[in-house]
Amino acid sequence: MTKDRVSGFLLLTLSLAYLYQAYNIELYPGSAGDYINAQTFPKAIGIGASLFAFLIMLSPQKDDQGFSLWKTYDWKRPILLVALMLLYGAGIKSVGFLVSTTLFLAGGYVILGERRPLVLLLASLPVAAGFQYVLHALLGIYIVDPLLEAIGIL
Amino acid sequence: MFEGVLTGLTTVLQPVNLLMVFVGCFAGTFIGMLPGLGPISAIALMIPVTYGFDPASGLILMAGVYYGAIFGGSTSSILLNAPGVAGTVATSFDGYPMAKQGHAGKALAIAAYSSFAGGTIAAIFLLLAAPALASVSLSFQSSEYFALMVLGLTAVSAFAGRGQFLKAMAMTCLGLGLATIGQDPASDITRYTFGSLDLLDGISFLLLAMATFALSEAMMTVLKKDNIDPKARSVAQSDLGSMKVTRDEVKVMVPVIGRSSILGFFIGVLPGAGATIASFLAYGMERNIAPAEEKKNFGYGSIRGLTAPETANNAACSGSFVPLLTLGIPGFGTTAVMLGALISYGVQPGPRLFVEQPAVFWSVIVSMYIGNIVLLILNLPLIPYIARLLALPAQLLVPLVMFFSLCGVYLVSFNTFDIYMMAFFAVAAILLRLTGYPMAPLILGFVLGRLMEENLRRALEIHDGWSFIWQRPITLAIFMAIALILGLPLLDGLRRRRDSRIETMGEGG
Repeated sequence: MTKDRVSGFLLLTLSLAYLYQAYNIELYPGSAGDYINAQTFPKAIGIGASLFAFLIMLSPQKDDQGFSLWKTYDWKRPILLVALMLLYGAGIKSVGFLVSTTLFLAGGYVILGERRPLVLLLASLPVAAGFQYVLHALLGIYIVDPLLEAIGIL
Repeated sequence: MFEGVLTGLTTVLQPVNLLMVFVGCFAGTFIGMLPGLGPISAIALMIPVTYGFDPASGLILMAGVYYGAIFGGSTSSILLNAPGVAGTVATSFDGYPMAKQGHAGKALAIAAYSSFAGGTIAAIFLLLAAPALASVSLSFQSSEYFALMVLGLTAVSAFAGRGQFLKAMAMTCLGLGLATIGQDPASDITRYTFGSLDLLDGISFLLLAMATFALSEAMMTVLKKDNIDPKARSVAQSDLGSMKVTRDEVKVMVPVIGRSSILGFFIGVLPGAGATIASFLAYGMERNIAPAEEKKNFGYGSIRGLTAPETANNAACSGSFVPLLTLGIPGFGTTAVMLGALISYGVQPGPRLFVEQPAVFWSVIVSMYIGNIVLLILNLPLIPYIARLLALPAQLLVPLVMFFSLCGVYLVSFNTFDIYMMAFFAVAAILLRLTGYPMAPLILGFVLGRLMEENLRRALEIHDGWSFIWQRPITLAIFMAIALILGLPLLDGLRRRRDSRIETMGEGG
């Protein structure tokens, strides 16, 4: 199975779903016959996208070698980085900016192979603290940080 | 015009704006040098920093970053044979061999002088062309704008490369589709929000730009294990040699600079083309017209081969500002990001910008001269030191780029949903990149989506239907150009399919 056929098929599915949804966009009474309403542009995009996706699926490129090259990629670390991003999103409000950013940076360094504790500490905590200081003291941007509030710093 | 230049000079020479030029050029050079990160990422990373500034300062900073990123890309092309930017790939053809021969300093100096000359000559063209085009485009109506936007989107796809046309068009549609999420600006009807309040205002442009460029480019370097060749790294870390260029070498460079800057500027003005195409065309043109003796040197450290793409890519950068500043229509990805940033500052580029906010208009043009001078007198001597920064290990750089991208978006909305959405779009962008889909048309489609719909609505209402296509000659001419642009790649594709079928039949027989 070539990459173009698979990606074309997935895009076609997405485009058709988008087009179907375009017909379900609610309209104000009487606006259905207007030259343009809230459905017109999405419908045009949906039709265009479906057409191009269909053509991609129909005519895969000659040099398409399928997914063989994908096996040579390092998937583990990017997946861990994405998981780290999601955790950062979950923690930034509950744990606070300083701790979550420090952990995010240190976690990122660890995932990418850094193991020296001093480097991990120096490349994360001062960055997070410095960034928060610039935001809070210099730019006047307040970020919720329960930990720093509890200590009385914020 | 003289008054305008004076206005621009007064704005740019304010200490804060001069600082913006310096910071922009320096930051751009550094980010552009990092393999994998291009000017779009560099500019996107700068946008959150510029939110508090006035539009002129913000745009000056971004113009500096743009130039710096292209220059930084040239540096890594010459020193590491790892172009950080697509527009400087052609630079590595002769720049890297020159560096390997022990003339890295000279190669960098030639690149810097060529960039300076190309950028400066093109900025003069911009100075002349932009006000003229802006006054012509004052007579444009919504129908022309709509047609120009369609032209821009189709041209980007047509220039996307052989076999890439359909994929680029699909990405354009995806970008346009993403722009429809949220409230319809005309009727306030919600579209594609699926009841989520987080999607009511639509997807932020910054979020999409950061996720599809900065985040995904950074993660792609991890995925593809893009480590700089240690041998190349040692070239960068070693003594770069003399930066002096002899009189004979200058004599060789001057005519090449003249030709390449004109070519680069006009390619840059064209929607869809840009620094990459300009640099390859200039390289190809010089190789074709070079004397037989000189032709042999191409690929082995030819001065002409280095001068041509370097001049053309900078000239194209200046050229790409013409449609952005005068029509408000970006020609390709980088200027699309700039347009998005301008809109978020509350500035609408276009012919009215020239009339209503001359300070912004002229200061950008003048900042290009200043930026070129900064690159020449500040960055060139600093290159040996900036090159040392490349020794910073990737395991530290990637999480930092990710952090700045995530924070840049989060600090605008303070909504954690944006972080999840960024993770989603980054993953989607990586998968799309791996399957050969270009990202620039997506961002261009997204930025132009709402503007297109607004202009289409106005055109349909004014003309009571679709008659504007044939009633207005300029609109008709633009649509004919679009038909040509759409038709040629399709015909080419059909011809190639027919050829391959004949080939297969031959093999069978």
